[in-house]
Amino acid sequence: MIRRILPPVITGVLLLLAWLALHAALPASQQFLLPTPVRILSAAAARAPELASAAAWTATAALGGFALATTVAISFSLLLASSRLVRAALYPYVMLLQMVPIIIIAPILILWVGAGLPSVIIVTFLISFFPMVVNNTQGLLSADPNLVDLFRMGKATPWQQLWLLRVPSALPYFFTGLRIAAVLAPIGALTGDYLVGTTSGGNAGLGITAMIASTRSEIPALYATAFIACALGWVFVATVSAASWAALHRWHDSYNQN
Amino acid sequence: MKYLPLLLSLLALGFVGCSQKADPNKITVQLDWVPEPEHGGLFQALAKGWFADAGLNVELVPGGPNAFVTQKVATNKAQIGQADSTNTLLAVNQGLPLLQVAAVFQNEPSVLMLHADNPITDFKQLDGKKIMARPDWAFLPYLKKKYGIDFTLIPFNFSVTNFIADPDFIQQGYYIAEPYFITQGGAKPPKFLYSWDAGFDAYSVLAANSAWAKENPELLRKFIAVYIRGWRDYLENDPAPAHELMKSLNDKNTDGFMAFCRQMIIDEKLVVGRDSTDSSQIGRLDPARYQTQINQLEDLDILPKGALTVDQVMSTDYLPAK
Repeated sequence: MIRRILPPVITGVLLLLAWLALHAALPASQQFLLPTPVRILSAAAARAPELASAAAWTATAALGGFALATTVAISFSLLLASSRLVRAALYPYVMLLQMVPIIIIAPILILWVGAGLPSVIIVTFLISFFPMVVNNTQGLLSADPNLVDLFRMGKATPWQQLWLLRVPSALPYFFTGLRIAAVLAPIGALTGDYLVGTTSGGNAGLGITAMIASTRSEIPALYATAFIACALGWVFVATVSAASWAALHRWHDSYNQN
Repeated sequence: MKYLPLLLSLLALGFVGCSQKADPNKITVQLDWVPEPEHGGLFQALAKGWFADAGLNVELVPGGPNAFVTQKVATNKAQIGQADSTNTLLAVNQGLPLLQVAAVFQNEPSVLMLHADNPITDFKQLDGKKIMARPDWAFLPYLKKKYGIDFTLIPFNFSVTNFIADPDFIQQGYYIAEPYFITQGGAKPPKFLYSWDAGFDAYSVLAANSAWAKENPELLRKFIAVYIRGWRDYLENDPAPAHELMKSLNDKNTDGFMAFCRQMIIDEKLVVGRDSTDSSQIGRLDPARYQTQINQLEDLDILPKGALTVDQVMSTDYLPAK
């Protein structure tokens, strides 16, 4: 246990020392560039309610976009894996969806959907959808050919082949895509907030909070926002990793090495 | 690990490289936006060679949505920058070494822009509306508090696309340039609600790195004198030198656009001052107006009470004697 906890703790302490050293090395007039952790914490404490509500708002958007992306990606990849013809017809357009720059989508979204949570969820969806679709589809097509033959010899229905063979063997791919999407979703929600979010009755997300802190040169608050965004991303990834472990550790090789 | 000394020396070299500054008369000016007529005075003086005549080596660095003017001036990457007085003042409270030394516009020309046939005529009627604006704009919480209203804010995306498409849209506009793009986009000229009519009266300013200003007071005085001469000449005489130079730096500067913007600046007396009858106010800053702004920001809890004094944020010492 000590061997697992000690190394990251030591790295953390060293990083903190390097931080303080760098802060001290800056001339006094330039120390605003890298505020001390104490100043960041006190800035965070001073505006705790505002930051908490912004974090909750962004978490909601990230979760909404992530859920939507997961649902759509699963259905879409089942469709794409069903036949070569469907893949050929649809795949280029899935790619297209990923290629459209969010910064250009933003004014269109404001026109069609209006600024606010639904638009932020759509941006999050657009950013995190693609890696999942690609991974799921690849997974569904990557079942062991020998096992596919075995299923055919046993006269399994296509339905049985899908549920008993293709879906289980796609699971590791699915979780890889899910993990990438879990990193992207909070980033998407932040970007979306920045581009198509709103503030009404104090309901702003972390993107808008960061924008205000940046233009007002509230640098400790800006760092605090960054750390909260990191924490949010970490929660997403940790949750997906735990789900992945629960689903795979009993049978998949990747959990049996070492 | 054996690369560590190499890495450290590279890093050290980088720092030395950054802090090197050859010409003591070099002044880098960070603009808030791409070169446009709101920088007319600077470009006229540069194009006519007046900075060089005064022994100054001036470089004007174009900005944009991410110009980060205050940060660049505070880190001395630029010695002077064009910015709005409110956020520059707030930056001083965050420990950034900045000093506001001259006015660009006597009234910061950010206004609320509405379609010509929008029934709204005063600030109270903004209650419950949607407004696209920069979320950091202190005028917005000021409006909410002063008129006891609330509205939904959409972050400003520096475009008039949504405004042109939606007849009910209300947005922040830099009212020198935006009306031109809107009428070009086919809509009628918009109407405005001016922040100063609500009693929120900020400046557009030139802010200097305060350490640099203290070390080079004569240099800064010379610069400001030439800058003021540039504005006067740009507004009263032929603007062609500035316009040619700006056109070469920003190909979206058509003659029609620049003439429109310059006329807006003249008609609205943005540089000379709304109550002025001559050009003697160009560049002038009024400490009393700063005190009002500080009081307003304290009242809105954007600035802690007693955190700043007027002398910390601005100085009239570098302006020419009246």
